[in-house]
Amino acid sequence: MLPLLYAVCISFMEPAEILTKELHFFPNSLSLENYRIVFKQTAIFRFMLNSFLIAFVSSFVRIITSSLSAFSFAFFEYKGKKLMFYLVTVSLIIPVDVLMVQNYFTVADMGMINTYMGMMVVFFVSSMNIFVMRQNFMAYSRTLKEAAMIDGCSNFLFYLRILLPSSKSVLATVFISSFVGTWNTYLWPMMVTNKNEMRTAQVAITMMNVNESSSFGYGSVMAAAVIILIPSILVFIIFQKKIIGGAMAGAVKG
Amino acid sequence: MKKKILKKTLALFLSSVLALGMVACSGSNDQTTSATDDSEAKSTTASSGTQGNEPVEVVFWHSTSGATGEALESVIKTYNETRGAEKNIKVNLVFQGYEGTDKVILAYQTKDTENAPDINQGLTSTIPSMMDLDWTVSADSYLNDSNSDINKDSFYEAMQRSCYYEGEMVAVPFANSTLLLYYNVDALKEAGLDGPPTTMDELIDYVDKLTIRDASGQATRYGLNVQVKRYQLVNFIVSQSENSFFGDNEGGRSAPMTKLTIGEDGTLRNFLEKWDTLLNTGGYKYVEDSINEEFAQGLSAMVIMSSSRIGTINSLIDDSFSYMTAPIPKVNADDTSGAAVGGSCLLMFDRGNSARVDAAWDVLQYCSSPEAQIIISKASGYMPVNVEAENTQEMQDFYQEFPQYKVALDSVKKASPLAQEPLDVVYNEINGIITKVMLDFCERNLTIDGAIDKLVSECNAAMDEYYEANN
Repeated sequence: MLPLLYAVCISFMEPAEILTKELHFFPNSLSLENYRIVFKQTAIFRFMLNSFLIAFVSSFVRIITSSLSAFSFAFFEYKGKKLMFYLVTVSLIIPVDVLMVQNYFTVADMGMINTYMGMMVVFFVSSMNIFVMRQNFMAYSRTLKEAAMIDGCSNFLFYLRILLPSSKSVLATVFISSFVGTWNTYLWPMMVTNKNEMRTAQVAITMMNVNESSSFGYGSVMAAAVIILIPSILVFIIFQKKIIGGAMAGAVKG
Repeated sequence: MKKKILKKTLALFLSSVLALGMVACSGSNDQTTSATDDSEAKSTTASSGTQGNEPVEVVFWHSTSGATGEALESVIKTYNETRGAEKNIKVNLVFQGYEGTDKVILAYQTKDTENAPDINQGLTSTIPSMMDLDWTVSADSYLNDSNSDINKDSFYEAMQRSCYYEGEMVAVPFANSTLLLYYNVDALKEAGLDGPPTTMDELIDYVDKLTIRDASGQATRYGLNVQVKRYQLVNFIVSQSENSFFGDNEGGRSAPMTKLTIGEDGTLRNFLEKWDTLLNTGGYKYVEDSINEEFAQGLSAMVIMSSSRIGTINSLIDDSFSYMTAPIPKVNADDTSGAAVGGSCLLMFDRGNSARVDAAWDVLQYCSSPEAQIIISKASGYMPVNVEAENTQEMQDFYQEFPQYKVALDSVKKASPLAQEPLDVVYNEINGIITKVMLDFCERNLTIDGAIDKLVSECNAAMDEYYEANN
């Protein structure tokens, strides 16, 4: 927490206060000049909107893809299931940076440079989330599904009406981790955008400090960082409240 | 049973549709691309005919921010409202940071003309890699055109040469700077020193006298702060004589550079010997943290950095002391060449529309005009590239008020035009190697001979690897 608090303090400091020989934690006065520079020099809200759109939609789609995959791995038996699951877990050890170049060429060939889809598409599926959800679904009793089938429930309805509502905790966890991860991602959005209006918040911060010959100073960089931090903190707080204990107890007797 | 067969058939059908879709997409992409080419070709003919209706858009990627960025925005805004409006041209200015050149290469590799610029501001060291792209348009023929507002002689000789590649002036200088010594005038006076150091030996003596130490011997004010990376090292090499190029083939200007010459001709040794003595003073800070702010706070008495930072330093120093700039100290007392002119240039690209290229050239002419250069120069520390700018009353008054800016221009005019940054194709990698080797040298992990061997061999290996991969 301390580095975060220090960043907030720096965002309210004058340039002369920031670099002094003595340790200087709290600002002498609450100067809003750094925030003024951020709002004047950058379209910070547009960048945050872009980041929010990408993070929210990617996280939502990821919940769908992960839960559907995990549902199939946990509740069904079919040929090749083990092999496919091993492939999913093995893909966890491939570093993301290795895939960057080829992904860029693929996205460029599809004409998705400078588009929201181009920025989001690589985040739609996550093998880690598939793994987490599959483990969670494995803990469910098979008799739950059998009971639902006997009552005439189809597979999809079981997934939608019974499984998902009782997995709110893991869904919230997946959503939070995906949102924060996608919100903070820098390299991919930087690669696939070269128009101002499409940039994300993280890319915008680096552009404030890119050129030492005419940078805006550390105060304004910290101010931008504090502004950009607010949505991820809000998402975390909101979704933490939605985490409830599993509602499986009492679903099936015996 | 029937339901199971139906489900399997449906699953198989959906999988085949998916597979077909993935195959078909690549085919339809080609068709789309060729359709786009056709429509582009049509629009080329159409746009030259309908120029009177829709303005020709020129996408201008730049890497200036802060006060310089604001100055460029005001120049372009004026262009769009005046000359641009008359000629039906509209400039779309997009800030790219230092990734601009890399992004041009990325767009080229994927043939993505839609998302490429018409003009890119890039460092002059990126000229070889830019000229490798088919899209890039050499400015040489435009500069030789008698109808142009500008020609080669509109620019200072050193700046002309900085944009030369294989015998042609392929780019137009834009934001040029040179390496300068910034010094705290009050601190020098206090230490009984008269004027700035002119040679390395004097610099070493100054650093010794200007460093303030606390009771434990720790420096509380450094005499000098500069981290030697590619930019700084190149200047200390080429300033030694007109024949000291950084690499072969005149540093890559007459033909592609294949190796460093600084190990063979003794220039690197000369520099490192002086730097070794400097390190012994204990008053030289060899890493850069916040060099601008630290100088402004009086934490270092002298710094060596680009003249483009004069504007930033002016805004950081709140009249607590006066400072001045001076040419960089000579490595040897009899050095003749002076610091190299560095900075960025403007290059044009042909995205398949000749009207846009002509429009881009019009924008380039405007950006190189004395009026535009004065605006940019006064806001930053970049020198006006147009020779007429310094003779205007406005600039003369400006130099009277801020003599620090004039030092940069005088330094470039006095220096040999042959003192240039090299056109090394793997400049980022070479920068990384030089930074690492110099850091090791300053931390006493390498001797002078060790540093020379490591630096030269690793840089040469990087260039060899590049040529092997690209030939």
